[in-house]
Amino acid sequence: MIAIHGRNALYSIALASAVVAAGFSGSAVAGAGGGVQDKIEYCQVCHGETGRGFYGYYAIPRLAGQQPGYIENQLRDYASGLRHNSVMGGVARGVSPATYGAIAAHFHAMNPAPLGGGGGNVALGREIFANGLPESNVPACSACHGPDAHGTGQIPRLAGQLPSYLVKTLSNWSPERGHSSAGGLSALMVPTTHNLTAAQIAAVAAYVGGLR
Amino acid sequence: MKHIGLTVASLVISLWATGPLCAQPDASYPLALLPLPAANGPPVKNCTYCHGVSAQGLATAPRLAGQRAAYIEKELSAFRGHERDNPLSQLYMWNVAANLKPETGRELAVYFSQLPPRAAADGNRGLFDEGRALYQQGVPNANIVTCVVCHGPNAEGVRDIPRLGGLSYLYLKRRMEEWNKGYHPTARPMPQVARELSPAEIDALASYLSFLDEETASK
Repeated sequence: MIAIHGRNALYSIALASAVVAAGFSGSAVAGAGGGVQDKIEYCQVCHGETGRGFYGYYAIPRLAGQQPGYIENQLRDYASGLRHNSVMGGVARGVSPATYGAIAAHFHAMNPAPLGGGGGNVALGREIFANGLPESNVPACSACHGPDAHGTGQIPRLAGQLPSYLVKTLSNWSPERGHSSAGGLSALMVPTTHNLTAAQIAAVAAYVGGLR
Repeated sequence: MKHIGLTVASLVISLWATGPLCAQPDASYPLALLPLPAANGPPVKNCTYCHGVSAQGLATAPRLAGQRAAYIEKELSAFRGHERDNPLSQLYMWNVAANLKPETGRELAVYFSQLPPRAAADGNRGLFDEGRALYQQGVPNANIVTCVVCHGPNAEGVRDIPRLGGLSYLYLKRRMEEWNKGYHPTARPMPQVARELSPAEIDALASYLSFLDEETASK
């Protein structure tokens, strides 16, 4: 209870300072919470304190270890509407582009164990990831995402990603990311995802979802 | 024996059909006909004293009907381990959970999760739209996350994430306020979520959620 009283006192002080600040300048209060550390904590509420992702009603993807170039690109695309997501569109527009780099670097440096949870055929997934499916025009995932699935530059890390998130992404490519992306790296994924069956998608997701 | 069995069966059916002899019909409060647990089933009465005979909740105790079974089990475990330390939890649920075997808790959780929930609808209806916007979109500029990502598009919950739609305004408001007073700190990320909510926003969210049932949620 002492801790609780202490916290209440802190709130009172914070509230009093906020009121005083508001008296002097409305913009000082409006800008509160927009700092890099505030925004990182805001991301972590949903994506997990260690950035390992979270199984909510929807799968919330892992950010830990993700390539900074990829995170920054996605934030830009969410904010501009190029990538469609009703939640992340608003989130990205609420973050100053000047802080994208620091947020991306923070999550890139994290390395918790994967959450796991995929139900696909891991052996089949390993085969598709390493060698692709030549008869279905599916290239090897490893060719771009790297043999360890850590990605590089704008190409995302897949290792440790939530399998159900990967399944959703690979099954829903065109509606979510395919629009207006001709010429972007994302366009490469359109024919690839369309040539995978549901069982093959589940297999790849289960395999890479377990990689560190 | 066959004959006696039939007599008992018809007696049960006629009692079920007529209902309690002393009950007054009340159109605004249609009691759900509870599928009674088997005679050797879990001790439901110990819960319904406080949570209501149709488990729709009473003043201090939340609705259990339709709640996610895995969530009920998780909370019983948190009462047992004293992680859920809200004032009313300490007063009532700590003792309850201390004397409850985990297997019995699981049976009770499954039983209550299968009862049809009814919306409490006790919030401020004027705050419905504001609450819905907060629930669906959060306030990115103020670092308020959306609720929909974890609790679902109709606030129905999933697995061990609770159904919030139709819980009572008073209960929802109290839980969010108590996270901000430091209670139940292990229920991450809820303490971090509630930390960013103003009293007016808590009021709007609790009001909105209290009206949600299967019909209003989809609108």
